[in-house]
Amino acid sequence: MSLVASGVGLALAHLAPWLTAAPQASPVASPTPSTFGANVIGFSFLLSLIVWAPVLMAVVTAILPQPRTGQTRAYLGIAFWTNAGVVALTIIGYTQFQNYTSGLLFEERLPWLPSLGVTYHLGVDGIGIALLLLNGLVGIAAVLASWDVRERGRTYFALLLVTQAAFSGVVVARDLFVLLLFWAAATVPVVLLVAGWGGARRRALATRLLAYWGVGTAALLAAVLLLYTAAGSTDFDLDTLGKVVPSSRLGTIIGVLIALAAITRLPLVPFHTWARDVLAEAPAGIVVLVAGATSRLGGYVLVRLLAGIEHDISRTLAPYLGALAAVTVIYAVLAALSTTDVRRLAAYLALVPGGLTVLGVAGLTPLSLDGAVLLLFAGGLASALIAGSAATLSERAQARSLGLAAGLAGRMPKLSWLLLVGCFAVLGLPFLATFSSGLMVFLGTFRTQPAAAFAVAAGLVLAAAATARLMHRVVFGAPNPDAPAPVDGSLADSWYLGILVGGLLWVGLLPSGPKLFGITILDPGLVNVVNTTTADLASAYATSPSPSPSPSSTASPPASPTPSPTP
Amino acid sequence: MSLLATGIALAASAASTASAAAQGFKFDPASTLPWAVPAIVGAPVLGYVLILGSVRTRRAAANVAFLTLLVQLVATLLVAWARFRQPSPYQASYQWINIPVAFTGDQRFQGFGIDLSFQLDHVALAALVAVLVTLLCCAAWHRVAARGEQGPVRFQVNAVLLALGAAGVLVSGDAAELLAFWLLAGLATYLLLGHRWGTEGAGQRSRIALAVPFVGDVALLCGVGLLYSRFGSLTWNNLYPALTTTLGVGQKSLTAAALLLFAAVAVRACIWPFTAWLSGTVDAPAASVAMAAGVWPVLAGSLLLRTLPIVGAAGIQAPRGAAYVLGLAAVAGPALALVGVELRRSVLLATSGAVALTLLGMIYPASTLVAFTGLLAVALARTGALLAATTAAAAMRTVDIRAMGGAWSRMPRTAAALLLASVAVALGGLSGAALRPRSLAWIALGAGLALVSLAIFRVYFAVAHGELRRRRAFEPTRVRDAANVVTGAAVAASVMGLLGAALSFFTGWVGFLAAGRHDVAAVGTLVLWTLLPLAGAAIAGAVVLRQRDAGLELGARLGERLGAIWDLAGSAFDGLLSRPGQRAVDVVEDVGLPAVEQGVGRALAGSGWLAGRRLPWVPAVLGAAIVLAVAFGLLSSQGLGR
Repeated sequence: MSLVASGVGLALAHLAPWLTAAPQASPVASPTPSTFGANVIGFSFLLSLIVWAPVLMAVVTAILPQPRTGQTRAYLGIAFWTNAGVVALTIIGYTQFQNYTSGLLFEERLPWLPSLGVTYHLGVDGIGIALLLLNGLVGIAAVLASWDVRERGRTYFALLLVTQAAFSGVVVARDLFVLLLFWAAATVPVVLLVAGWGGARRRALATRLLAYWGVGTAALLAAVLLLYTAAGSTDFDLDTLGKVVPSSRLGTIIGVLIALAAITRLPLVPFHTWARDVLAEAPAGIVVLVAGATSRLGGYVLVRLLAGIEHDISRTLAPYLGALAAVTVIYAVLAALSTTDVRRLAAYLALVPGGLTVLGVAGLTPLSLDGAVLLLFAGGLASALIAGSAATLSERAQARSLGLAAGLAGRMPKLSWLLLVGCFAVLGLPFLATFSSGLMVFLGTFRTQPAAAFAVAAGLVLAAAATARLMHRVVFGAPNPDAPAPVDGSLADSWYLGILVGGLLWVGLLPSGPKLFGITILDPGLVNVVNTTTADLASAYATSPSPSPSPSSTASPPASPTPSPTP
Repeated sequence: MSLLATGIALAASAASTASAAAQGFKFDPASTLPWAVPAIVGAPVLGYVLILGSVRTRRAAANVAFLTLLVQLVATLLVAWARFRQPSPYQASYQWINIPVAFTGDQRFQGFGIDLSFQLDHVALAALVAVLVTLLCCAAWHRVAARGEQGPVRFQVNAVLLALGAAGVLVSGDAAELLAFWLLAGLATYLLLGHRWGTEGAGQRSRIALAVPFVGDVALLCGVGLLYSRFGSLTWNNLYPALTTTLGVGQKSLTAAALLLFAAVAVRACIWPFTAWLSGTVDAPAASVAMAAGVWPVLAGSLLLRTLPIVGAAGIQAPRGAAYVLGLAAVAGPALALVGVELRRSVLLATSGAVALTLLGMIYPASTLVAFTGLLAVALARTGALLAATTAAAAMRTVDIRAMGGAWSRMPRTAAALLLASVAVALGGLSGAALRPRSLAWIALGAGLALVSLAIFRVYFAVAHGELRRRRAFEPTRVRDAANVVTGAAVAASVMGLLGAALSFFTGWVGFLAAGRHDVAAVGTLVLWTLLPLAGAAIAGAVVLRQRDAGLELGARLGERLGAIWDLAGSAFDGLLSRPGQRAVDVVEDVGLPAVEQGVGRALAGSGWLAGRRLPWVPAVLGAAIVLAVAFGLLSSQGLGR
């Protein structure tokens, strides 16, 4: 008994400084707090809780006694409430951001492997909190999408929770070694999920996924080690390594390796075959998780490690990334136009937001980078929505061919409308989150990469043709009398897709948050929160001012639209 | 967000009105501006939520939608009353996004903001009235004439969404805001045109209605993006002065931006060769087609008005290119209307020529506002013509104009609506054309005026006059006019169109739209130009009334030939471009990439196999040396050692 008491006392003694510490506020560029309630809550181990609570609950799930076959609701409940808790914690963190604050919040730093210079260093900025929010929303959606998982439910939900924990770990890690560990750790549960529940060709899918993600992980490992060596540092901290300016040749190699890691996971063409197969074959829960969250880590690494710290290399690689983005968007929609499989078509369309994100990174202007980060959030939701709704719809319609799963709007109105919204989200129609983020990407990119921006825009026209084809057949067209009887989505389906639509609509309608008398309430606005970090990150890419107009050239604004030359 | 502020303003306004009422009625319309202006966009939002959230019956949905449009119209008229004597625009804006994206570099690009801004001048108000009258006429017509249409609630929801998008486009003072509402209106149009679910035709229609106009929408996005990338502003008021004062922006960029914006105008105005998205969807619900056909030309014209300063600043190439395209469309559209005998397609193509004529007139500074008035007239008349034509087609149970006739005696109100609409369409481009006697454009304007008149009156004479023949299971004596509301809607739209066409001849009206000096065509010139539409109408009357069967049969045969050519072109596109492209993608996806993956996999497996064997040492050492040399070359002193 006394042993327990002394153990608890020791633990409390260790926890005391954490509990009493205020959130470590960052350097403030401009002291203008504009969000009601910002910086009020002190919670210095918030990030550890967000990362490790799902792991703990995964362990609990794994050691719970096995109920009768097929009764997996208890595991689903654990996964759901864990995710709900994580979302609540993330929202607490999110509301603490205020306009014009740069730097990290909720920082934690503990020495871990001093001999290697590895520190357990966590922290979150505007980019990170947006992705944590995405992870929370996608996590809940993935759990609800797994409502019908009956087979080996315990393992399934435990792996789901571990995947989410790994995602959060990558996002909040400020030490590259820790980031790499979480990055690699995210591979294992996803591969196991695909290998266990990935449909008839699950082994082949899992092998392909492992191969691509393995290459990406190896590339990131090599990049981190090269950066570490180039720095001559004994420290893996992102802040330290971020100040390293390697030679152009080494820098190029590091940049290419980081880009390779990113584009295998996001993914871009020609590294997309795993995504095509997983999104077209796996059950809806895995599809939502992969399309919505884990694949977005590629974009995150691109923003954080390439654009964020390797400025010169980013400039060198930008045209190639722009070209790759254009190729991805155009190729994906051409492939979507040629397939007759509903799920494959949706899987190809789900690649489009990734291409747009990379275009934003390639733009390397403050606005395009802002848009790219926002698109990580919006694109994740859009990809998850279109791939998830196609998976659920084809399952409920008991058909996945465009010929059979046809004319479903009248018989499956809920799922048809949700698929429709997913298509609109991929196209970036207003007032969904992909509109504002896509617009920022385009407006920013036209300054530096006009050719790539035009090419991606042309790809969007083709994407409209592809989505029109999908909707023509599946939603509006004539039903096939030989098709099996379809059943509309269940309540769980409506909820999980509704959460994704809700996220898209909330940020799409109120990107700067709701305001009352000009003061932001409830939500500081995702655009503002993301911008707290990207404004600093992107300052390196802000171009020099153009010559100001000479005083003599003072043409007055035309009062009425009257052009001078006549044809 | 701004709801509370609006509510407070509303209460204050009501209180002031009430206190004024206590001292005798003294209503100041300017006091309504704080709530009337947001109501123009806010009412459809509320209507949309109401119908979507709580209405389940056909009548209730129709009533709420009608009421929403009515509220919008009343708010617009109130604003027009308040701003009647003030030529400067009423401006109000609310921040939607406002972020400092960078702290260094070019000042123009350090911040980014999109405003929900309202800029209401007389031009915008006139356009709003035209759009809302169009939508109200269509809604009234649909309420009675399309009782049996599927998805009544869905239809009204989409109609209200179109009203929201259209109002947003017309009042927007910010290019990004305009783009957002433009896309929203496009989305509503797509849903309206693909309204009839469950048939192959509906699916096909929806496909055309999304994919084809999206080309123009993306062109608008690119144009706005290009402008922002050069001038760092999305607000029209800041953009126009910057066009001539910003150094480092060449004519090439401006020309590209102007042409991209013009492409958006041309595609959405549905002029030839972009008519397919409406002419290919004519069997959608008639009210949907009429709404799209009436609303989009006005929105396109409004965008062209905003684009004109950019077109002007771009030099001679952009306006010249636009003029050529519009001139060609003004002739080709009505010429194609003469080919074929499908009623609504003929009306749409004929009126597309009138739209192109007015847009062409708008490009010339002297006739910009005159032609814009003509455009509003054509848009309204087009709606009236489509509604009247559909009413006649429903009564005569055919859309083939060869089998129609006698509407003047059997359906006088419908025939009158069609006649009024035809006159308005034929005269819509006249006032603008009459101001261009010395320009080379007179060739296109003259030919266009004559052809438009010929094409639209051909339809009128075929439907209204001649004998309505007995057919299998069709008794001509039973044909009679539709309910008053149905014909009334068509007549109202046509009369408003005619009124617009008449207004375009009055300098007072043009002066009301924008202050300043405005050119007027001399009476003699006007009379001379009027001969062209008159000639067109006379030829149409002569051909249809005297040689009805032969004339219409010739059109039908030419239409079949044209259809065959289109099929051939479609097959050629499929065979030469689409299928090879799909095959190439399939080869890459199913053969190329798996082969590469297998190759890499085999190589890795082979390397594992090699690792387990004893290798001949000389080649192994040589190979290792080459690999090391390459590695060290890459990571030489300039590399790792920095």
